[in-house]
Amino acid sequence: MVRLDDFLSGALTIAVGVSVAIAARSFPEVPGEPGPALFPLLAAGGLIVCGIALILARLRTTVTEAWIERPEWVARPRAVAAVVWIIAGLGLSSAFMESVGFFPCAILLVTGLLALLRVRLWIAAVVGVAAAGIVHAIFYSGLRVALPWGLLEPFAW
Amino acid sequence: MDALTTAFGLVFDPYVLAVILGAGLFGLFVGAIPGLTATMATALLVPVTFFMPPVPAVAAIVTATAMAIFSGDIPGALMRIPGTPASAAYADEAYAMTRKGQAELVLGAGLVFSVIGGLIGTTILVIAAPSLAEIALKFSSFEYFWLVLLGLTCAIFISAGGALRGFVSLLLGLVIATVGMENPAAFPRFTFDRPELTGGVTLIPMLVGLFAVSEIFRFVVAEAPPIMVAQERFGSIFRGQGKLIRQYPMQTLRGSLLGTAVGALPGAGADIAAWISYAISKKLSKTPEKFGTGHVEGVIESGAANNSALSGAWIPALVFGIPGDSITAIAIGVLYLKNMNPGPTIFLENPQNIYAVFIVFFLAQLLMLPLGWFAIKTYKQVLKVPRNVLMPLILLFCMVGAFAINNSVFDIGVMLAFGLLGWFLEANRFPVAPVILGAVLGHMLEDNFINSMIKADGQWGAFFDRPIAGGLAAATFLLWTAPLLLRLWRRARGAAA
Repeated sequence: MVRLDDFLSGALTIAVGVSVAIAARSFPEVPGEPGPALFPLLAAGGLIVCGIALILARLRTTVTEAWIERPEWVARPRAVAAVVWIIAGLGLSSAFMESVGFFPCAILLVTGLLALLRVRLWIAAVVGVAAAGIVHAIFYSGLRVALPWGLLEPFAW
Repeated sequence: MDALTTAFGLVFDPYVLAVILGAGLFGLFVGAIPGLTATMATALLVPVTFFMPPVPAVAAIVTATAMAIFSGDIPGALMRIPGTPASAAYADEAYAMTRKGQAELVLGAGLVFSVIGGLIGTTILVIAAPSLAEIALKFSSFEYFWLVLLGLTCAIFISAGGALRGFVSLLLGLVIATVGMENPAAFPRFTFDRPELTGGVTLIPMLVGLFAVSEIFRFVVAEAPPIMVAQERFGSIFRGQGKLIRQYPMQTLRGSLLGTAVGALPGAGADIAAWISYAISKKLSKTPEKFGTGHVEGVIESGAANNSALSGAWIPALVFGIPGDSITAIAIGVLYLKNMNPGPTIFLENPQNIYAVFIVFFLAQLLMLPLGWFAIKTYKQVLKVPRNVLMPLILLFCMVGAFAINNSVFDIGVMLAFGLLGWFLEANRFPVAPVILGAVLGHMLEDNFINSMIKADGQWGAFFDRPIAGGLAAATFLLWTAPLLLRLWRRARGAAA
């Protein structure tokens, strides 16, 4: 993951605080009581103060660092691919698992990641299918979790 | 007495005993694999415990974490890689002992003194929690407001990345806690018109993301070092332990008491207890020069401390609903899911469940002896499980676990978002534990603040009128101003010199 200089970390903290405060200002007021905006505004204020403190602390040091430190793993395509695979796999599962189904999502997620972690493809495929089957048996059959069938609905049990 | 008998019946049930055994083996396995932490073990267990009755659910968490904290010592002693952060304080020392041919002694000491520390911590939990609960029954929203604020303040000052970074993490957690309609006006805050967020951010996908998915991200980008075990076969690990017990009783007791106390502070868990305990052991030792060269004294004291900290963390969790560390923060989430809402009334309404939790604590510590011995003997086989196969399987388990709580694919996205957040925060030296504390305690802080404000009818003095509330407020203000006062005192002393 990228490492930010404390100046940027502070700026980011302020930005989060300001965004929360702007959103909270639109919350309704409750006559005679603290309204729903009070707590978010206090937290936002705290974030802004902490962000300023991070920047001030950074300005007091003489360390010269890159604003954004690129992690060493971005030079390794396999590591980058593994990160992208996890993000895409979980993101797409979140979006499409109900229509596509649990099995295709799970098998693709596991098999692809195993292959990227240097497991031979046929072993990865076998482990992927077996893992999806076992997890499905535990959660769907054992614990009655409604894992979606999606495209495999005609074969549902 | 009836409640106690019922509690024994609840625990010594074949199903519960099987859960305890399974969770124990799972905890040992997770703790012994470098890169998998006790918190991760807990986060992974939660989706399964969701489907269990309250007692086995809590038993699974208690047993797995106790085992994981001990088994983290094994790779520390044999490979100089602590299995969990709680073993980091003395991994170098333990490894130095292995290099001197004392692997059996240090592994046995890790096991035996973990058990002793855990038993002492549990005894304190059993004695302190009901007594504190009686006092807590008299608490009103004013006391709870200050207590939560004091707890959160402790969490900031003790956090690993320094107070300022800890504060940022905590505030992020408090902002997360404001999501949803649980507020005075039942107004949907930060829900982005998503019906899934009206009840707030679901705790379990958040936990699994922060503590498990972030770990998987770190694993896939790291170049895992080749595993080199310093010793593969072991003789008796229990030989010589009796002599150590007689030789270091003070260190054992000190480590256990300090561990319990540190564990009870919100934000400080087993890892911080072990670091402080190791430092104190060295400072008070008659032979401090031996520390770092493969000397068992520090391993004994901090090994007892990290396991007793686990029990200590449950004291504020059970009595006040305030978690002592990230593991109990997760456990509190489970207690709420099981309608076993923590707080002093639980001791009146559900005494059998509380006694059952206490019995499980003792049972888990005693079970650690045979299971720990088994884990050490089979460690070579444990290491044969390839981590590059294990991690994708854990990821799949995380995905299904996040989905299973609400049968919602939205929660998979929540888990991913928190996985990335946890990874980003750790990479930038922001501690993750305060995020969870803030997210869990945010509602409690806001509810008690609003209730107090309504009761006070605009009179701020009411926050300080009641003696305990006033005392807690004073302690909170003292903690806030302590750094400034210390700085002024040092400056004044420097000027005088």
